[in-house]
Amino acid sequence: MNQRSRGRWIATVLAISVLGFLALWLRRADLSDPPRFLPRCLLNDATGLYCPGCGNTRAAHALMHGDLMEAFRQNAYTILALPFLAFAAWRSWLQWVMPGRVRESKWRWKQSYTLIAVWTLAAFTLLRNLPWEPFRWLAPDPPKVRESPASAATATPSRDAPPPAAR
Amino acid sequence: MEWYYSNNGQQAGPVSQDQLAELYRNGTVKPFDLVWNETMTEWTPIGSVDAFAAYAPAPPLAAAPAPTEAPPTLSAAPPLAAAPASPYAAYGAGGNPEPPTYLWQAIVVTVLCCLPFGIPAIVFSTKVKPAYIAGDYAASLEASKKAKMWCIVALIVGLITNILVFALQIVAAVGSAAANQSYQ
Repeated sequence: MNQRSRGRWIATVLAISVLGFLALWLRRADLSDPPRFLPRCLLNDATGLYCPGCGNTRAAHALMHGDLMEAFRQNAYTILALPFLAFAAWRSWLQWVMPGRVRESKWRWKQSYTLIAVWTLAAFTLLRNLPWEPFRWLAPDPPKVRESPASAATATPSRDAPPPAAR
Repeated sequence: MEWYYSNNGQQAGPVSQDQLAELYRNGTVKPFDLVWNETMTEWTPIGSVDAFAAYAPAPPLAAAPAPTEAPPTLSAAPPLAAAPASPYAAYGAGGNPEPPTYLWQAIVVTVLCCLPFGIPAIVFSTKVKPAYIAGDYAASLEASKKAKMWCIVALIVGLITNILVFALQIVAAVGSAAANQSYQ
């Protein structure tokens, strides 16, 4: 193993540790009262439209609780694409840590697969923003809006949220 | 250092650096032929490897004669353990390997970073393969590089934006805590 390869293994271990830590934190998070620091979709914040990635955080949360249906409900595209993305990422990672040593797979990626992936992504983005019935199913739940700091002081706590800690 | 190189669609080597330099100088290995050694990430055209820059053949006034006999080391099969994957796809673009499309990376940055910058990455990554099949290796490589560049741009802009928003949230949280204190 040469110097560069060792560096890449270390980077991999670090990245997996960080991602694992974040994933465990997300798993524990209560999304009915989303923690303040969960990333939100900036496009959705700015325009109210759903981007193709909207619902991914909740889908990941649901997946980590074994609820595949709920994950699918929040972002169908991600869940369907996940096995393919994971496989492609795995191949690229192998190529990256062991350059030149990875056998080319016999199975060939065709241009038509690329077009299918891209056009379904475009169609998914369009359809999930349509306000009518079968398409609304593709949209994630509407985002939970956190009260602005000004109204936070007067907001009534939701019934199933735990009471605030005493100061 | 042992080098592998490509020649008429066949992978060859290992040869020493001096042997490869000689093959390059006498025109057996052309500037766009790919070479690789253990320290390199990817197969690279020999013309863009610094170590061989000094051996670039003179412009083709006198066409390099085809070698009548391959150097002895070439006939020896490379040891199995060290054999890198073949750089060749079965077809297209004069035997050059297909440039990476970066499709999955483009889709991931588009979906995760939710940014307009992911869209050019996807568009360029769809152009890599058609150009390659059409035999236009330069255009294919160009599309591949642009797809990679837009993936990186999307990733960086996405990270910076999210960090900024995160910082704003902290400021807001601190501000709201201060406001609550003043009410109570």
